[in-house]
Amino acid sequence: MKWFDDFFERRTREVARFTSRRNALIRLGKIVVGAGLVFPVLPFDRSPANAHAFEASKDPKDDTSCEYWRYCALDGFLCTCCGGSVSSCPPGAEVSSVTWVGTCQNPDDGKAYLVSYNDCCGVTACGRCLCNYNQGERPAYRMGVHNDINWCMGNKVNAYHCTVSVILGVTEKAAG
Amino acid sequence: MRSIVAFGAAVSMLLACAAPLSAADLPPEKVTVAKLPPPNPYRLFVSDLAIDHILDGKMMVVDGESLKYQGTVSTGAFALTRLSPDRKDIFIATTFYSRLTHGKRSDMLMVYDAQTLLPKQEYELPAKKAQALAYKGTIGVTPDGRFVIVQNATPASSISIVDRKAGKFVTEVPTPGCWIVLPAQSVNNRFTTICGDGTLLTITLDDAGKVKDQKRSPAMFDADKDPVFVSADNDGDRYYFVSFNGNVYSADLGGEVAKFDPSWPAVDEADKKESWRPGGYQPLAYHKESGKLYLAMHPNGKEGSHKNPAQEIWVFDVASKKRVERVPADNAIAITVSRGAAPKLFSVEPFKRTITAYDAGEHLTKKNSAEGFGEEPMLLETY
Repeated sequence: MKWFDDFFERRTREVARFTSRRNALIRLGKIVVGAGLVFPVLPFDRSPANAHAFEASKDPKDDTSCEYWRYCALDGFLCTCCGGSVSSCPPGAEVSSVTWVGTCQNPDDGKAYLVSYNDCCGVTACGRCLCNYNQGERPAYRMGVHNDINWCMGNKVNAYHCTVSVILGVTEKAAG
Repeated sequence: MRSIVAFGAAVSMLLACAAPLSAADLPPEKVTVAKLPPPNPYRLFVSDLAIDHILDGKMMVVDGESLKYQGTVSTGAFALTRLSPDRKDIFIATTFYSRLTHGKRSDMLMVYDAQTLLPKQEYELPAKKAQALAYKGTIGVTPDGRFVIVQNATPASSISIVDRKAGKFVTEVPTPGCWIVLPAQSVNNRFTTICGDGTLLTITLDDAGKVKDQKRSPAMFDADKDPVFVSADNDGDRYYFVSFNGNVYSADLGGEVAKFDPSWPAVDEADKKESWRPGGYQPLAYHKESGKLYLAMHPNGKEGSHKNPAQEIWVFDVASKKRVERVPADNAIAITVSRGAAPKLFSVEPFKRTITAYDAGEHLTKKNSAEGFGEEPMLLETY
């Protein structure tokens, strides 16, 4: 099974890394861009139910808010609330080797970006700023766009801590 | 140990010195461990991801008539749970680390007694068990209870088979691009999985639990245009699915290759104008005795709304493919219906973690509800 694992991991990374891979990007882009790229209503903000101290804003430019534009397919704790940033894991955690991706529109430039949702791993669950957006998300038979799984699974140390949202590149306008 | 003995002796002396009981005093009590009452079809097993402390998840046991909390089973990290067909055992595929968050990863299939809630067996699994939400079907069991079939992800998808007769894990089956375990019910050696190209892959095992045969169906659905939820329900070999757009699919999974029926829409033109769609983590339930299909539905559906809580539960008569009722739902993200006569439907919602019980006889009628069940309850199974 090692070859198979390597293959899948490599393929996931390729999809994520090379913006020139038109087919993959257009396919991913269509899922979302075809739907009009509107910002979805958060299915449910579980924070009040869990009596979280943190009260998130609804500002699409605030990266500690579930409504921050990059989080359109993020399901998990925001690393920006846990000692990390939108693109860095908190101290003591390690970056997941495999990821799922989403396509989100930046309100500043109107462009659609391919975003990699890396989980941060090896530290107990952060427990702050739980978000759940599912734009373009699909069941696990489409694993690369599935978010109900621990993407720390490919790491040696794979406890789930929080999730970052890293821009991989602009998706092509043709996708719309 | 010595200090405990000393403490016990001190307590005994105190008791000996205690004043004699008067008629108004409460009697001294003995600490005991409660026992579950005899089971009934409405006993509810609720899996809780407990994401704030995800390494320490749980399953809650609830009396489906009174909605009284009856007990808890420890399930570890990202547990996949399932009751045995005879409802005597709870199967829990889970992960433990030797140093809680790190160290050696041990993936285990734990078997708990469903009446005493005590562990009774465990089997070591390859350290590939899917660390996924406990969607129904991420773990399956053959009708005779012999083979327990566990979804893996590294993220490459595969399946681990545990043979309870042999008392061990016996084989791993690669299932690239496929997900979920749907065991055949008319035979004891077969299961089907849903693939990203819309096909269903059926795997037949030999008597040693190794793969004897694999056959792929033609595409049942278009995963780009009309993806199906993986959470299915069944009447024997016939499994029912619903898609993001509200189309109902069904397939006979008893044979070497899946055979499916024509799909039909659960939403009509008027419903489409209001964008009613199924949603949640367990959006479909089927009651075989009445032939009724239940769907958790939300209006104003759109791309990304497929996990939204339900505003209504829709009831369909599968034989006529007609909707027979629509009933307000308490933000349900998971629904299930009890087995046998006089069924009850149960739902759970994510805000106050409320379980709601409905009588699901001739009409679907809300009976009672209670709040505060766990943190992220998202999978329901009845006795």
